[in-house]
Amino acid sequence: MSNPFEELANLDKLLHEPARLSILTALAACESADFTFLRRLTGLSDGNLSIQISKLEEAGLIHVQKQFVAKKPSTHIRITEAGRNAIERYWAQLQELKKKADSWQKTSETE
Amino acid sequence: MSQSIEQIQYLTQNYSRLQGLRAIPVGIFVLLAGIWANFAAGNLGMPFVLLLITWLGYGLIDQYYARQYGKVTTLRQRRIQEFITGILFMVLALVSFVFDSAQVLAMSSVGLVIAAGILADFWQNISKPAYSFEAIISAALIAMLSLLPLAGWQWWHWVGVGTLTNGILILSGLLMIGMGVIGHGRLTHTLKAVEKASHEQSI
Repeated sequence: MSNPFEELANLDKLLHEPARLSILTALAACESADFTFLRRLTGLSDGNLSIQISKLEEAGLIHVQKQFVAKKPSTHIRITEAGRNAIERYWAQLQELKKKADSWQKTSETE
Repeated sequence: MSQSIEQIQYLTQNYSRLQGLRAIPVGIFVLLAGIWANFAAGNLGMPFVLLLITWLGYGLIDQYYARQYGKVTTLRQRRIQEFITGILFMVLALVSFVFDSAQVLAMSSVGLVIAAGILADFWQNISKPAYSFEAIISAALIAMLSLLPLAGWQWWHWVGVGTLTNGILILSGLLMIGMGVIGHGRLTHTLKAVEKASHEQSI
């Protein structure tokens, strides 16, 4: 059995970053959210949030729709099917990793 | 880690529900409708003025939340569920109001419907945190005061209100305002906690 530290390397690096993980977790729990909500949620600056959103969009995990409402720009973001699968896979991997880390710790304590 | 994730899911799934300030114009409307029915029921134009002010107030608060906190569109299934529940309780409230006006029973069926509505709203909250105490307390208080007349306690006279229905409306309005303020506090508190966790990279 591989040890949990080795398996950490198999985690999706795009998702293994707090801001991007927060964004995808939030988007997986709703149909869509706007830029303002994600900014409040992550506490990131406009520029930094734009960068994180672009990375997720380039990976095909989210879909970004920009429009003008009453002459003001409005950006709505929704998760794609690939994004939903990726976040579910990530959480499953992390749960598995936690289980392995617990059993690995117990084994090393008894040896 | 899991706590922050749960908070993000809770915030996103219950976002419109957590926008407590929305309940304030509705609470003020119910409160003033109760006061109007008790003291100035002759002026029939007043409920329409109150309704208009409530609608305007609600719109302004909606704008405030959209600008300050952003917008979230909940999942379709959940929107349908909320719509059906809303319509159901609106019909029940109207029927019970007619029922209470006919004074068939010595209790408030409007009060029981309002209490049930508050509880239904509470149960619809996904991953509800343990500190959503105000909904349960409010529902229990309204239900208890709705049923007290069955034991012969005409509590509304003690506070200078003419009828049980008016007393229930005034009380419900006050509780809605209180729940709204607490709900808004919970939204800002949870947002700050999530934001802090993101900054500390503790997710």
